[in-house]
Amino acid sequence: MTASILRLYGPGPLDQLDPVCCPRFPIDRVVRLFARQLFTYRTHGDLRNWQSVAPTPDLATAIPSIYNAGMGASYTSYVVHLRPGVYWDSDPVRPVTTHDVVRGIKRMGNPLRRSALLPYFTDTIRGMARFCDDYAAAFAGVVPTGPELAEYQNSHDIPGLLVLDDHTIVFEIRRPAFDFIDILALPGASPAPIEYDEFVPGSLELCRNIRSNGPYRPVDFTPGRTLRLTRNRLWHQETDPVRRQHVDAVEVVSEPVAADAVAHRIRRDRADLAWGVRIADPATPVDHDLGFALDPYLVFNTRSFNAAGALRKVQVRQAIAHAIDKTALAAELAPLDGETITRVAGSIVPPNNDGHQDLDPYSTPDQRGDPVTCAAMLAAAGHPDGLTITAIHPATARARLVAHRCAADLTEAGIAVQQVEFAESEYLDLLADPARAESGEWDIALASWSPAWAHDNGRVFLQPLLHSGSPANLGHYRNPEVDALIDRALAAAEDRQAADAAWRKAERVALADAPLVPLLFQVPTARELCGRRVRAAAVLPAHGLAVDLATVRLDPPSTD
Amino acid sequence: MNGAVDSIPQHPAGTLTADPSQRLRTAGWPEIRKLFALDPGAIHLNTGTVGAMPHAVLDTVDRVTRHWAGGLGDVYPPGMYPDHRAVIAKSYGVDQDEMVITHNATEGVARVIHGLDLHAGDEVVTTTHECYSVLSNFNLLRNRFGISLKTITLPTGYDVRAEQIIELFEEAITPRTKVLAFAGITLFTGTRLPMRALCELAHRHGLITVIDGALLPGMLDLDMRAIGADFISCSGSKFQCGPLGTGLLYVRNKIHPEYNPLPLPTFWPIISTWYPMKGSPPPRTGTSMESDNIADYLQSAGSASIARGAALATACELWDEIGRDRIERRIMLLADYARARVIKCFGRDAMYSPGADPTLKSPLIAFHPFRRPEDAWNVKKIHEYTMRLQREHRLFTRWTEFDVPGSPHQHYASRITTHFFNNYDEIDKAVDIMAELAEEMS
Repeated sequence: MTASILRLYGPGPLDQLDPVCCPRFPIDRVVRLFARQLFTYRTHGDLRNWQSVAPTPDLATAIPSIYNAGMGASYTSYVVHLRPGVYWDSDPVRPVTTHDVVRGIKRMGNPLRRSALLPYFTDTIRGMARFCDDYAAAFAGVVPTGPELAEYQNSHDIPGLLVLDDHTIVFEIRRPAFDFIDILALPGASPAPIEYDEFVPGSLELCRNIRSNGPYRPVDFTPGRTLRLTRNRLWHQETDPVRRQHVDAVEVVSEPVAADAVAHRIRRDRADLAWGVRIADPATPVDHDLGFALDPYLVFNTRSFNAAGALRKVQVRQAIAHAIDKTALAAELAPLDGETITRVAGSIVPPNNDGHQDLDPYSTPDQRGDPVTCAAMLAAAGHPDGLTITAIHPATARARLVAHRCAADLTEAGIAVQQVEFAESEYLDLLADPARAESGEWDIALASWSPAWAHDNGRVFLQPLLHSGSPANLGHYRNPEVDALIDRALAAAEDRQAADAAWRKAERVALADAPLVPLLFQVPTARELCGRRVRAAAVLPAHGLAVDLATVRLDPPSTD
Repeated sequence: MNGAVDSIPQHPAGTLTADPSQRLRTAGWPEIRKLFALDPGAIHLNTGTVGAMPHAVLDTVDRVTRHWAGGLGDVYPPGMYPDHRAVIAKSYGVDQDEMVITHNATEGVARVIHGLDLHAGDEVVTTTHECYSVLSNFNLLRNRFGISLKTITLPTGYDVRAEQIIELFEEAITPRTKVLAFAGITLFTGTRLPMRALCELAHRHGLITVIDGALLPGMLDLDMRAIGADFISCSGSKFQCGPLGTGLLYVRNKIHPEYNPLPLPTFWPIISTWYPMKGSPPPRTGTSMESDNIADYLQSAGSASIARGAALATACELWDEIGRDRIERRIMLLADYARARVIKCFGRDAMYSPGADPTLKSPLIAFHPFRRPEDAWNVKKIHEYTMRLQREHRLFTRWTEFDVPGSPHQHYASRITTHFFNNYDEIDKAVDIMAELAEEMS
């Protein structure tokens, strides 16, 4: 009998598998196959149904509520019971326990590989911010080994994590947070087995020693090139309400190819799904009202001393914000992006996300950019002869197009742009390193940001992108007033109006500082292209409407 | 009485009550205990959740249900319970136009909260120790109208004093505050709040007072009017031992300045058949004479369970026969005894319920049964403890959960409740069992 193998192919990064490093699209698509969370999302036929964006129990037996004694009236204590019968594919076989949950949460604080979404946790779980600060301080200036990191984690507690026994854990949070279950559904919060204590988070060694509690397990991994997952015999359908084990194996091949080549391969039945590039299938429209992504945007390195520290000046950043012809950019991207709704962006929070407001403080006529105004503002800011800056982007066709378009606009305004392209994983590593920002390796970077969850999501753009100290605040923008407004919004979760007001003000204040330039908002309107063997390809909003690999079914192999 | 239908003579079955013996006033407690349908093999120390029904109450439910089965008569007039309400109101020092028989305390308090004339920006001061029905309904108002909800976390422990509580409320009141809402006795720690003092505080600030009195009737010899509140919503099935699905609601409908000098608050009697379909009711009174029967508006809500209303009236009449002053003394004596036994076995520091200030004491006693302090926030352990008491010893208690000032944890306590049908022997036995099991589980 021929094995049914789901094949993914494309230019997406395939640099690593450690859940603690997520989110990294498209890695999160395969992480879902071997790393389960306490809560997750299920596919749903009707994306307008609220259940398609509502978290559902995964390793947990139930969503904690007043009615199942999972939380109290203060909404600051969540009791989570683990589902019995879930095992690691370890030797010897062990059940997933609450100690693994704690290990997973603590690993997020490791000073070497921190998730871009860490602030959601440090801001919420009692004592986690202090734990992470102390963790970083303990290893400042040294390169620790995996066991040294584990030793630290195992000898220091996060006060807000109370293990009652192997099956029950209590999360104590600092204040009511109605999105806390969504936060726990993030892949970075996946429980981690004790085997991971041997390895540095995100290291190749760890990636080659992944332990699975999901339907598939990685069996062969060549970083940057291939990944093969096969069925995990210790996974049982009755313990997993959302995943299936329809296919025998999943194979990912990553190559620096253009979207056309990927589409060609899928249409020729030599691949089933694209890896790391979105190829829409106009024949399968997706009806939804989900939030747009901010995709793409430009982020300024506000720590750079290049060009006499020009980008540290608000006036210079404001000037550049006037320069980009966003209308032309949208038009140029249209053939690449296929079935998407694209809108010119003037604000940070995109439409259909909580707190979106129709702002555009740096608008230009017809959004065509205004190089003359830009040049005049630069002159007024002390740069009458323009600037020379380094603009970086990842090595994908789409990013390259955006980067070239922006560089042309900036050149027209008298800014000399030195463009530097990086392989995608290298690019992400560069942006994640504050020291490299401080040393001026880049001045402007191309980025995008998608909502990590789709409802009650007031925080999902502004907190990570603007709060000082957030790993996703790539340009290291810092404004105490913005920080205070974000904190106020988070603290006012119980008073929706007050929270909304604080979020909106935070966005307005930040936009006045121009730490980034919103370019476009985008949301797909069609499912991704699937090979003809693919059946039951349901999409997950949490994965940017990508097909859920955990429920895909394939037609039997042809006997021709 | 307001009404669209002629009143008909009450069928005897509609007002049937047990035949309370005049002897009850002087009967001994062992004899009175026999009035209750108690399981002889069990110890019932959970009246804070649900009382044990007297046989007479059960009989009334059965008899009146059978009488009205078949629907041959006009069920609406007896469903207004005019006579039962009059009797019950008298028991609590108020009038029939101020007393409603509801389905439970939650329904009563919800109808009060949603009937208040609150608007965006108005503030309600309450506590984190309120029943969920109170917090949930005020949160609904917050979402619906934009009111503001300010919650105080009440102090816990043996040494809490009434002045601390009054001070916390006073500090929380702002010029935007419109309502003080609080439990007469909190279900989580059994703290009997200084109701009269808090109402006087509210009067000084011109505030509406809403009391969740779920635990009050049947326990205390209450003069509801003298408390000075605008609204008191009560359970009929806890200390009053009526059938499940019964409650009482007091709505102030006249002004007795010695108790509450404030004008009657604007109040919208939501869920009402008799609220005028055109025009408005008469203006609310400004004197001690009612101008309209507000309780009738609230009572008229379609067909009612005639049997349950009658049975609740039976329970109330039984309590009147025994003597409500006598009942309160008995309950408190048993509670003092139980409290002392708990302290002896578990230590004073284990107490979440007050004890030093006699005005705060109630028959609900909440405490931490285990040796390790951190077990106080272990919901699994307290749940297992409670279940084992029930399974292995047929000892019925419950666990409660609540915030403690200054603690980041949700605390869980074991709670026992004494009623007058309990006795000293079973309290001794129960506390011994609890101590032994707690020791084993510690």
